Parts: sequence; structure tokens; C-alpha cells
Amino acid sequence: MERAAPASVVTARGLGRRVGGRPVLAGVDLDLHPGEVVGLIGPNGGGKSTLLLLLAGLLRPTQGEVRVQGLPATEVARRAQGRVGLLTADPGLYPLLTGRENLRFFGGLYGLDAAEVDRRTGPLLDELHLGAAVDRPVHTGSSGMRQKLSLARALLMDPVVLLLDEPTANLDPVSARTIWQVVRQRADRGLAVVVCTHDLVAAERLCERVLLLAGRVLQETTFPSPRGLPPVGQLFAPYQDALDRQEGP
Amino acid sequence: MRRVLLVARREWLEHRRQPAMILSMAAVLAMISGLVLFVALLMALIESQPHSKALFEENLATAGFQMQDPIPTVIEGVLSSFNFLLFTQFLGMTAVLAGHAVVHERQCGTLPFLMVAPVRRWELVLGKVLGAVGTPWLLYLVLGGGTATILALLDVTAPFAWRLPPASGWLVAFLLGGPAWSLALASAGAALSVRAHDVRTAQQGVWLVVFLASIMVGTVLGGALQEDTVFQLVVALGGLFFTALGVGAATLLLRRDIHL
Repeated sequence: MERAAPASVVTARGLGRRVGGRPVLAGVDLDLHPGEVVGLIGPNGGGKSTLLLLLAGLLRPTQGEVRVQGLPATEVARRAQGRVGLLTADPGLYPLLTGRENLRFFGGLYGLDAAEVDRRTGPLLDELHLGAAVDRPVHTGSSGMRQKLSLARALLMDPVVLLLDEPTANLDPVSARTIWQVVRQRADRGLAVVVCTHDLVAAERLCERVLLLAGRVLQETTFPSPRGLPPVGQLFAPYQDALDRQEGP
Repeated sequence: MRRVLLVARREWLEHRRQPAMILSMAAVLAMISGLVLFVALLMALIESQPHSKALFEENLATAGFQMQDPIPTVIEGVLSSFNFLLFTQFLGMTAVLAGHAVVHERQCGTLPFLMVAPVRRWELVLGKVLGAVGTPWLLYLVLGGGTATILALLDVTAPFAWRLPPASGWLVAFLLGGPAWSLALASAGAALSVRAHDVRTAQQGVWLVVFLASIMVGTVLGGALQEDTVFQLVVALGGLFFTALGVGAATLLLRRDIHL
């Protein structure tokens, strides 16, 4: 008997968005399944971020519709708490608060108390190598630390969909790899991921499908199975070792 | 309401991490208090010494101010200025803080993450309004309330007891009217900050609100203390009504449909 494909987590049909009468995106159809990583690539202004915002329910489509687990995307925030995790190039954290205070605040909005936020994020913060940095004010941390915290927040509610907009832009290779690693692991456990990126190597290695967007979907490339993390080259290992030694006790 | 308080608490936490900002606000109120107390205590001292009092009257007359008993006139002017400045500065501080409320979220890049969280827009706006009122309210309560209490203890202020505690009109204006109108101005500031995409626009909008409020609300709260308690209660209710309007307007303006 043929095995039924898992139901789509996100469904977009004829999705379009006009800004000031000018079409930014038109006619996008997308079915996103659990455990699938879909990459969005294309030129600046091609509609990648717009599509991501439409999927997050942060923009209303001017054509078509988006549904997340059957709910209109714009209703998801209110009715399906934490089903969508979001990570943008700007980490979006309060700089004067510590990482932990940021996580507790956002967790609180989802009804979690401080202890529950700590319990949920503990192993994840270890995975992201954040350590003591989580208790320092965010403005004193590096871009990598902020982006990892933002990823921890995106995963806090155990979402079914993770939307990533240039998640590793401006990050050093070690931080970028850590983020890709966590994203890939979560996808392997069933998380559906959409990622906008200009990093074609990362897109090719991490994604099952890659859509080339330039106002509409110009091309869709499918890869039958995940090929692991992006290659790092010969410099990566000594680079990481040197950093590890510097961070030592 | 839990999420409202959560947003407000986060705002207060951010304020606490900026002691220079709190010191600036405290300095404004402390300067008003210091000046008023200095003049009132000086008048009390002059009043208690007949020779000094005669010299003071003589000097005033030389300067062209012919008055039978100048001390009560000075005290009335001081108390009137104190109440007007206390109320207007409190309102102004909250409006300025609230005027940056949503602009601050845009600067931090946190707005998209708040919009995907299950916090309703009115909860976010009200939380920010309460967050803007909290720190100035504490300073107003301690510095303003403390100064007014000390002034009320001086004999020279006795003829104008209705301008100070424990006069019921003053208590209603101080404990209800001031906070209610500060909420109203904070909600107006929040509404402005929703539409302002940069700090400069927010600041100019808030400046307009503060200017209008200083003239209208400051005059009603500080200048109408001789009216009965019911009048001051109506003024306070008016503040709450405008707060609801402001929060409603800001909620409508704060669309979930945002641009990063």
C-alpha cells in the first residue's frame, strides 16, 4: 500500500502582494510538509522576505491566501500560540535586558512562567553554546550571541513551522554553522522550515526544495534527500579550535 | 490583563537600566521642589522676624512693588506655580516616554516578534502606556507629594490650604486627576509613536501634545483646585475617558500588517 504523504503544515495558493500598486510578489503556490526545509533564493527585491512575512501573517496578501495548519496565517498569532517561529536578520531583542530576561518576557506572552521558560530553553542554550552569555545584557553580546538567542526564542514554543530570514547574515562561520546545525536537527525531528538566504551553498545543502523568486517563482529545484550542513573548507577546524582555546576556563 | 502587566513590567525594567534617564526626570521635579521650598521657607523666616519683614516690605517698595502684606501674595504665587509645574511636568514626562513606545520597538526590531506572539494590540498599547506612566508617577508621588506635604506644614501657607494636602480637591487632583491625565497623554503619545517611523517625528508630535496639555490640562488641574471635589473628580474621569480613546486609536493604528 502506498504511504500517504504527511499533510501540509503551510499551504499558500495564488499568493500575491502589491505595494503602492506595484506587484512585489504574484502567483506563489506552496505546500510545506513536516520535516521539510524549503529555501527561498533570488535577487534583492525579488519577494523572498515578503513571502516570509506573508507566511508569518505579518503582511496581508493582496491576492490568494496562506494557511498554517488550516488557519489563515494572520489568525495564527492569536489562535495557535507559538505554532510559527520567526527569525530575521535583525535579532529583535531588547538590548538593555539580558538574554534570559528577553526569553522570559517573550515566553510570558505565550503564558509560560520564568521557570518553564528556563526549563524549555536550558538544553537549547547549551546546544547553541550560549553559556553565561545568556545572563549578560544583550547589547554587550556579539551578533552571533544575539542571533542564537533569537533562534532560542523562535524555538521556545516548539513551533511546527520555522521561518528564517537571512539567519546567518553577518555571522562568523562558527556561529553560522551552529545555527544551521540546530535548524537541521529540528527539521530532522519534523519541524517544517522556510529559509530566505543569499547563501546558495547553504541552501543547496540544507534544503529539500529551493525556490528561485523574482516577483514570482521562476524555478523550483528539488533535492531528494538532505545532504548535511554546508561545507566549511580547511580553515574552519583551526579557526574553531583557536576560538575554543580563547574561550577556555 | 496579565500580558498588559508583562509589557509594562518590561518597560519599567528597561527604565531601571537607564539611571541617567531617571535622574534627568528626578532632577526636573527636584529643581521645582527645591525652588518652591526655598522661597516658602524664606518667607516663613521673614514672617517670623518683624525686623526682616519690615526690611523685605521696604525693599519691595523701593523696587516699585507697593504691597500692604506681600508675603501671602508671594506664597500664593509660589503655590500656584508649584501645582501647575508639578502637574505639567508629570504629564510631559509620561507623554515623552510613551511617544517613543512603538518607535523603540521598531528600533529594537522587536515589533514583528510581538506581532507573531499571542498578545492583542490593545494589550500591547495599554502595557506601553502603563509602562510610560510608572517611573514618572513614582517620582511625582515621592518628590511632588513630599514637597506638598512639607509646604502644608508651614504656617505661611495656611491661608491657601486649599492648594495643598489634605484639602480634598488637591488630593483628588494629585492622586486621581494627575495620574488619569498622564495616562491620557501617554496614550496620545503611544498613538503618535505608532505612526512615527523615526524618533524625530515622534518627538515633534509629542512636543505638540505636551504643549497643548500644559496649557489645558495643567491649568485645569493646577488652576482649578479651589473648585469642589466633584469638579476634580469629573476632571479625573475626563482623563480616563481620553485614555480609553487614546488606547483605542493607537490600537487601530497599530496594524498587524507591518513592514520589517
